Amino acid sequence: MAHLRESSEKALKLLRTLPRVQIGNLRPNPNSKQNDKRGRAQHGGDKHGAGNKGSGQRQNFMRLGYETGNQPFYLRFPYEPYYKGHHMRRQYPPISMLQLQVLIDTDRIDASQPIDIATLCNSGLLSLKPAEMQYGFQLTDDGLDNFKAKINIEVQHASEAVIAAVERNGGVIRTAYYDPRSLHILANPKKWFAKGIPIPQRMLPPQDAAEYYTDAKNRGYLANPEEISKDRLVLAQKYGYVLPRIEDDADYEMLTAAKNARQLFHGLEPGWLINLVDKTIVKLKTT
Amino acid sequence: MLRHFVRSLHTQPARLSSFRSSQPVQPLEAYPEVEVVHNPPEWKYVERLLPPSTVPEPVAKPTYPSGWQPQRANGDNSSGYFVARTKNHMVPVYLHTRFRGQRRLTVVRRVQGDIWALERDLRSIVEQARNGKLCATRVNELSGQIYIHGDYVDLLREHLKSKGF
Amino acid sequence: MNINKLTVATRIPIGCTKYFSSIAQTELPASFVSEDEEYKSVSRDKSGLRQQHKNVLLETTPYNEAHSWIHLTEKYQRSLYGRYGGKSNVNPQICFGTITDRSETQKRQSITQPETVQQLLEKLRVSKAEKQAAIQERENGIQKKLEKLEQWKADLNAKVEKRRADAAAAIERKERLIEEVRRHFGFKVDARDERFKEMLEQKEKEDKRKQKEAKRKVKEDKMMAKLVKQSS
Repeated sequence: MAHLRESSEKALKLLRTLPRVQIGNLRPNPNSKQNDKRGRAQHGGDKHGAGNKGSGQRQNFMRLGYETGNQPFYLRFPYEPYYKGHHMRRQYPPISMLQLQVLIDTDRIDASQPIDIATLCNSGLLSLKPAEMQYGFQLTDDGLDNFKAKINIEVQHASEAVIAAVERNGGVIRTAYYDPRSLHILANPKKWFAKGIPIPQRMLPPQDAAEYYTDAKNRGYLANPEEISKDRLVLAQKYGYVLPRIEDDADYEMLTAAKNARQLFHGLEPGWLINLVDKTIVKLKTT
Repeated sequence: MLRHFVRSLHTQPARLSSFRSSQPVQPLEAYPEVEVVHNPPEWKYVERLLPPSTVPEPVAKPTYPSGWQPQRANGDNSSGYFVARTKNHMVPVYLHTRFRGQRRLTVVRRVQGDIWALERDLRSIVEQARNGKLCATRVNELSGQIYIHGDYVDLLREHLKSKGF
Repeated sequence: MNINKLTVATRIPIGCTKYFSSIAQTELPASFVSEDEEYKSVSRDKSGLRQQHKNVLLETTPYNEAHSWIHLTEKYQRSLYGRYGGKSNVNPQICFGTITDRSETQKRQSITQPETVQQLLEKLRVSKAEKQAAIQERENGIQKKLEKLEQWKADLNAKVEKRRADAAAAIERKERLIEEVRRHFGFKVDARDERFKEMLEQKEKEDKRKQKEAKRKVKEDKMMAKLVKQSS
């Protein structure tokens, strides 16, 4: 080990003679900086890293799947129409019940008020892109055993187990359709109010979605309320829980708050103009 | 009626979101009459639609069914280290996937104090879960981050939560 | 700081001076200006922002009068009202669109969205009922056919059985004839022998004749029975 110690002592000696490490004598690691200039002269301006010949040199990268004139692989076989019209289908980005419970536990959403798309988007943790065919949220059943909140929630799609989990806690769930324009407004109401346009009407669901939203089993917003209350009991018996009576609940008003089929926001009628600066509501004069 | 409508679709300019598609303001007689309601009773519904400007501080509750819990440790414990919560009140344990999912790294961030002691603790926890097999870790003392080889996010998050972080 | 000197020194073009509010102010001779006055007259706004941008920062309308055709459009004025409220001096009436526009959009909506909720529900109910009726009809038809199925199965089985029995009878008859021919010759004769074939033909003819006679007899018996019945 003698030579090691010797060398380390030598190194220390050298270090004493060297200048201190300071900002003036630091330089970047070798090869850590890339030259953003392109060489121009006889040999500096050769290929600029693009290689020789073909699409590499010309930087015309072919579209995905293109095989330079061959029948592409993705067109070579008869197709199977599972995904027919997939770009036109309505998408419902999922939120799990666990996520919802975390949002409630961390007070990101207020469970003492009705929850809808605007509430979820205003939490700052969820977002909706109506331009990408997203038609609202679906509530999925992950973590449904740990769901203990009593809420009045409006989503766009929910499974039977989720409905049962919400209703077991004395809550209310409703599935409702919003057209893309309404969704755009609900995704960021504050920004939209700055446009100075009266609140529009919500459109009715298209023919293929109407079936879902008129079914009491899905707690559709167009379903018969009597059928819904009957189906609540049926579901309670199926899943084996005692249905808490909403009529006796202290939050009866909150739990039964529901939007009109043409309404966008709770308590605000279509046709009203909201001004956030003056805190005024402008209404049409009724003649 | 329908034919007129279809014809208008083809002949009139599209109502795009542009100032060109908007007509100049007409004399006020052309517009319907309105009333401006100050201090309307419905304003509480509008306030509900406004997002909070900051992340709200969670109110203490008797139980947290989701498994989330507020930070209990305040940094003066005997272990000599402290793991701060994120701005969203979450435990800063993350999963990094590299090489198209071939390498998974568990990252513990926002470590303050004796980061080496925390690294020892976390490594022992992970090695226990691996039945005594060794576990590779990397510590960035300056930025207060610990990188652990493998996906032990849930394990370490639960451990940190149990220690009050 | 002497502003005049500054302008000379930096040679700021006249066009740019409008951005610096201090330059526009009339300058007093230095001897008349007290320390305080000079302090006040010097602008410390170094942002270089234009007036309209300063207005936006101060949350007032950027322009007091229209600077572009855009500022005269409904869309712009609405957004002014939305963003600055009553301060913008925009009458909120214009946010609702002209009366003619409103009636036009209403007309448009009556074409694109002709149905009320009730009509939609009714339409849905009808289409659902139609679908259900079609299913019911098909199910009923199948049920009707299924009722006949047992009969059809019995018929088919009988047919198959009969064909099988006929075939068995034919084979048995042939064998019987061959046996008879053999007995006639009294010894084992090759089946390909001429005599054997002749004999077999003869026997077959005889058999046919017998069968014919039996048939005729059956027919005659039937006729007789009929006649007897008629006469009696």
